[in-house]
Amino acid sequence: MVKKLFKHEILAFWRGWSLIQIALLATALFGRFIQLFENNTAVYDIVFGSTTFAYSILIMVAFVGTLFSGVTRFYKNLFTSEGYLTHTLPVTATQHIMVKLVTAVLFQIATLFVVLASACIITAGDVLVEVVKAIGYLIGEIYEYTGAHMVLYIVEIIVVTIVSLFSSFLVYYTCICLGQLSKKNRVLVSVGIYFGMSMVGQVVSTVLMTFTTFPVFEDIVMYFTDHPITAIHISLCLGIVITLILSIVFFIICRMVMKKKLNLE
Amino acid sequence: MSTLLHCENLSKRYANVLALNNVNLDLESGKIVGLLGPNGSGKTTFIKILNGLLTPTYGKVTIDGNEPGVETKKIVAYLPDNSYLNTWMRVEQIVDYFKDFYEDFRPELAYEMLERLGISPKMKLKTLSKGNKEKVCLILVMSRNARLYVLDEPIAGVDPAARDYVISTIINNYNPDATVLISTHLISDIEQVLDDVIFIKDGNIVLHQTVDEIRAEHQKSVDELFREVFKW
Amino acid sequence: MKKILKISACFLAVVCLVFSLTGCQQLDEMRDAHGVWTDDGNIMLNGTKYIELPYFGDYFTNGAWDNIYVSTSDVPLLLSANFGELSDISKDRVLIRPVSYTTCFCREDRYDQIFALVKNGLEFNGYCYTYEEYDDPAHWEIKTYTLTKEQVDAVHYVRGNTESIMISDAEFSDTRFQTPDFVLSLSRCLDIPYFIDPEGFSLVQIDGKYYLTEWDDIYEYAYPVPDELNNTFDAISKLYKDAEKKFEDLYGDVDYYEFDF
Repeated sequence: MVKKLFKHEILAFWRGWSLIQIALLATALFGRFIQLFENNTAVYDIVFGSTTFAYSILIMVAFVGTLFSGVTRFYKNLFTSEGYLTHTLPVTATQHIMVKLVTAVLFQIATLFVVLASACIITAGDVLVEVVKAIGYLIGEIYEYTGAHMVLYIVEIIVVTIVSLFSSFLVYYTCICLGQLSKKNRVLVSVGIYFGMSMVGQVVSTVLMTFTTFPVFEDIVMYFTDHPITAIHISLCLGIVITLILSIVFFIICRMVMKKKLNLE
Repeated sequence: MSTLLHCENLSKRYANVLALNNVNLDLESGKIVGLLGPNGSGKTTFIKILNGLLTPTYGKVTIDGNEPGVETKKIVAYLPDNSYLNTWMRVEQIVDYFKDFYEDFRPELAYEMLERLGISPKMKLKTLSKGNKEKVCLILVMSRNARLYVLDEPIAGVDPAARDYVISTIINNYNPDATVLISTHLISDIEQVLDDVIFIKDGNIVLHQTVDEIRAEHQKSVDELFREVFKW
Repeated sequence: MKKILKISACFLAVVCLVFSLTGCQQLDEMRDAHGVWTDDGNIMLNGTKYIELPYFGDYFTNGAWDNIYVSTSDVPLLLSANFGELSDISKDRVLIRPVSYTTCFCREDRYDQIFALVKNGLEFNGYCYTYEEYDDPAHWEIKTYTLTKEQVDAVHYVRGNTESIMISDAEFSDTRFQTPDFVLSLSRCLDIPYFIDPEGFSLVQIDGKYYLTEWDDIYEYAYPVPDELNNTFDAISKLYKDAEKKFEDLYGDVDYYEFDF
């Protein structure tokens, strides 16, 4: 049943997503193509300049668009009239949330790969070669400095990125679910909850920041400055743990609302 | 004939409104039951609880021994009173969707009924008229070989000719061992197909009898009795 | 930690750089500005070899130089500015001097010539001066004028054959020399337009009369230029005066320091 759910979720997601990705790749191709006519005239500058501008905008659109698609798909499929069909499928609330979440995250990762591919396209040739050389050199420099730790860093960075992707969607899922608890203007309430949560998050981090300036933490700060390699490990792992905990909390909230407090209009 | 649906002290409260008040009900399999009451009487609340779309405040309900959940959703076919179809799918995609999730779905039957309506599988759902959309929903539901069919206002907002189509579709396609629960406030059209009748008023079951019993006891048609019970 | 931050900054710089590169043209320009150390301690710049010249001392300053970066051969083109050493290169691309070096590197095809000139030490037997030519406030070019053999002879003649006037010491100063019409710094240099010694003369004109002034530890002396050599000195100072006039035409009679670019 979960496999079927995945199949239909991917099908539904693919429709809007693929359009933006194709537009992105096409712009990259076009951008590479007009470089063949490179010269010093103002015409070339304008044409190439606007193409690269459009390209960078499209990159943002690709990422934000995937996030937006994931969130709206969650809302539409579960909490509008479509929900009458979705919630009567022989599928548990947990399965619904998991499948939508995993699909959204997978598409966001796919977006990343498409963006990288488009970057290779638009810089194909001399520029790409030089970029690869530069990146290779920088990685070598880091490796010289950190040694085997670099491999661990890469793993930690990948994990924290993936966990953050999950939590990025779960935040919005939670706001939507909590909005469902109100009787009227559920979407508005969801938006309000989102801003409320952001503000709380800001306040909490500011408070924590001021705590770290207390003398108690001076020793910790000293340790971090003296042992940068460990410090980075600790920061990354702390990031993973905190994001993971938050994600789990959000997931539980969503599941609770869907199981016990569902009330479709 | 066994008990398919069993409700025990089922209640649902929204803030200061008691939508369902201590509903005790048993439905046997193999019957066509009318859930009759005016708007706001608690019909939709009851139906949502049956389908797991709402959790009761008090009491419990079981379908074939299970509380509403994954197991009951496999055997309950629900037709809500609004359209749940998304607009971008084609007919064949939604048929595929039902086939994937419901083991008891019979796609050949669905396609046969769709063909008779002149709806081709490749059509996009958003190009269908409102009436056709509702018929498609009904066809999808009735193509399932479910144990309990729950139809919420299947003939409201449908023109008289189409009403006959709806009723005949229901009659011709349901499994004789299954129970069909039809919730409506348009009694006269549906009366002739009902076996049992439930009157629900302000969240309370005020009557649960067979159609024959009603006619014998009250010397009235169900429609007339309804008007009497629910007059303002 | 700092190194990692620096490297992250480099990553970001590369990304921004890539998006601002307009195709291959800018890459070619970067190649022209990226020198590479060879195994024998010389510099290779875009296919041209530059050999070390054992010269210690000063060079043309005041902008007759461009900047390039010289790095080891493993540093990629895009990171030449981050991991390479800042170096000066003369505008005709003959001499390169990394800023931390006291020697410079000469282009292969001029090496023998220049080496011959400097191998016995530098004999500054010429003079030159620099002036700024303005097109508009944001664009000016620093140019150099080297005196011809005749003009150099004239300078030496004035220095050697006229009566010097002491114009300032601890107790007095000749006030005329405080408000000259213009002051021009003549630096000693070689025949070739590299390697100057800033110590030389100042050429000063007061009410139409030219003077060469020179510092001698604590005293400043002036050597008046005989009238018959006025034409020569007009020619010497012509470019400087023209540039000044152009500046005045553009901006009026203002002090440099009042300018607010």
